[in-house]
Amino acid sequence: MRSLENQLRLSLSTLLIAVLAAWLLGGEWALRQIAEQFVAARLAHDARAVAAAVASPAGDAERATLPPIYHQPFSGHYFQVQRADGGVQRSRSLWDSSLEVPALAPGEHQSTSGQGPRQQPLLLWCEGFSHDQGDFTVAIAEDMTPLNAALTRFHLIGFALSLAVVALLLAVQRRLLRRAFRRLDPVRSQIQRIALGAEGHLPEQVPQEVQPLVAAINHLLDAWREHLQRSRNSLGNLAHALKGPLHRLLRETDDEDRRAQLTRMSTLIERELTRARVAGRGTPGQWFRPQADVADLLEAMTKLYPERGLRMRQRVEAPEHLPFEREDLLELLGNLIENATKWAREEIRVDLSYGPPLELSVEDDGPGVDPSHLHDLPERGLRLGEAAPGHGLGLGIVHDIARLYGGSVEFDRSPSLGGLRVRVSCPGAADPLVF
Amino acid sequence: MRILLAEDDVWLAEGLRQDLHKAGYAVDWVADGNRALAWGEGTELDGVILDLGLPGRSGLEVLQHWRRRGNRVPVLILSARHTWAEKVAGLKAGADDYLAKPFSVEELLARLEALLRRSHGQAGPQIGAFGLTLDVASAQAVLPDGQRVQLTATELRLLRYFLLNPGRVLSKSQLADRLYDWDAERDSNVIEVYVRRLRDKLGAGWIETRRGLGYLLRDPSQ
Repeated sequence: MRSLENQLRLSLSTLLIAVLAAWLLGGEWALRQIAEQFVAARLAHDARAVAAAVASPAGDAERATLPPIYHQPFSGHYFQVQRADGGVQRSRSLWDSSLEVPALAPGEHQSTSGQGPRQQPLLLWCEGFSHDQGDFTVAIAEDMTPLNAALTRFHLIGFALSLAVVALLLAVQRRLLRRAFRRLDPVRSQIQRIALGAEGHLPEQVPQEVQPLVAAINHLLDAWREHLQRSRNSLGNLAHALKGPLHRLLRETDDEDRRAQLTRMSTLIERELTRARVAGRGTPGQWFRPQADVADLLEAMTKLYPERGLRMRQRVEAPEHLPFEREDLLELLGNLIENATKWAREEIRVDLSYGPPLELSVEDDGPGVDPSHLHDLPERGLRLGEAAPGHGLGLGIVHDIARLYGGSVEFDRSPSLGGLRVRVSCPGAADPLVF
Repeated sequence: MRILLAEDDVWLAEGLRQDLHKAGYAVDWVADGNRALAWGEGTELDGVILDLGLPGRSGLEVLQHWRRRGNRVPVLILSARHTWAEKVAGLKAGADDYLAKPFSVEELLARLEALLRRSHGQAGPQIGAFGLTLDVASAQAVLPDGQRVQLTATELRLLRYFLLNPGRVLSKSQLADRLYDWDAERDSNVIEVYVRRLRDKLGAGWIETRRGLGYLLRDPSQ
């Protein structure tokens, strides 16, 4: 779709060019009219002077009281007297050429353009006079070359000025448009933040024209969040509803095999529910706050496993908020740290940094995992989880969450503590503008 | 020990109540959030088992309310929801432990006992004082010389309370609170009878009578 700016620029420039062209052409026409009338009036005066000299007793047009320019050859100012009896008298400036003079009745006059000696464009004024010795016509002409040159100059200047005006107006329009669109920048950056999972709405302080659009988007956001919340709640309710009867069955049955199946059922339900709850990037929710959330998790771990009495070290190098859904990362880290807590002897370590990418590792000083099993740890998760609670289910979920964020999970031996080290790496947000 | 059980699943609550009784606890049971809140305010409790999904007022709200009012009673959360976000929220609100459903009763009892022990400043793996310990699973008291003494459920309750508060004078009404559920008939004269029986079983010197005040557990060798 064509940009608004280009569209506006095109229509504005078309309009401007049309208006300025009309103005230039009209201006030239008016100027030429005025100039020609002015010249014609002067020629009429000179014609009278010539006529007066012809009508005088001497009857010599040369005696007319005219500027000396009429005497210089090809000066551009000429006259010619055409008598009814065929006699012709010419100004000296005409030298050996002559003018085309129509025979006019006394009192008649006309103004025409014609060509004079040396291809000079002439304005020609002819007027008929009566005389008792025979009527005559006076033609008087002036070279229009200087006037034409002045008009052309005016034309060029006018054209250049018009171009400058068009350019200036377009620049001003562009500036104004940019400024107007800059008022939408907060909306755009907020949309980017929301796309990455931030809370909140689009700012409503926007130009009136886009207000309905912003309001509609906000409405949509609310609906979307409510929908997500509702589906999460209903998942929670489902878990709640399923667990009551399961718990009851577990309590009522003494059969070992059946108990094992029920336990497995309950863990599977839990696993799928947790998977379903994992939101992924781009869902509106709370952002992960590395400092606070890692500290809270370790604190929770201390409360849940008070008898372990572990040293828990954390190193977090990240901004206050990260563009990851808080519940997702809590789930990921919680499972890793709980694993480490169960297996550690004295110490666990949590490292988190955000470049981006997000790099986190959880390690313990426990027995670790046989190197031959390291690569298929998540796949064996379920079976391992049943055999020895710990390096099991939780790791499957860790894998799911990391994959959802386009990340990877690696298992190896902790170089500093000697136990299992799990490293997760997730790429950062897609848009570097926001972070 | 007096425990408040706030759980809206009647069947689960009834089962737990019996299990808790057997393990030597006096149990008050409420099934909704508002009653849980009021009960926690008005009653001297040693511990609370709190379901998060209570009707009326969520368990989390109840807990936050208590903690804001300075009520430090040990709380174990019981919840069908076990995402880490919820565990962290519960523990941050002031809970001391978090158990996800479904759970085994043994684990609940073990965690509850550990919780009570910790809240009374006992770091060891078993409840005990002055070399006298309690084996709750078999309802036996273990004397410093290793001799085991079988206890009745009431004696178990009584001795547990003494062992968690060694060297402190406990009034008859305090003891009665730990022996009876809220709806039971109470008779503080019966306390004297139970204390005498306990003395007979443990041997002289463990429980001292402070006339007009109550009883206290002390080191018999001193």
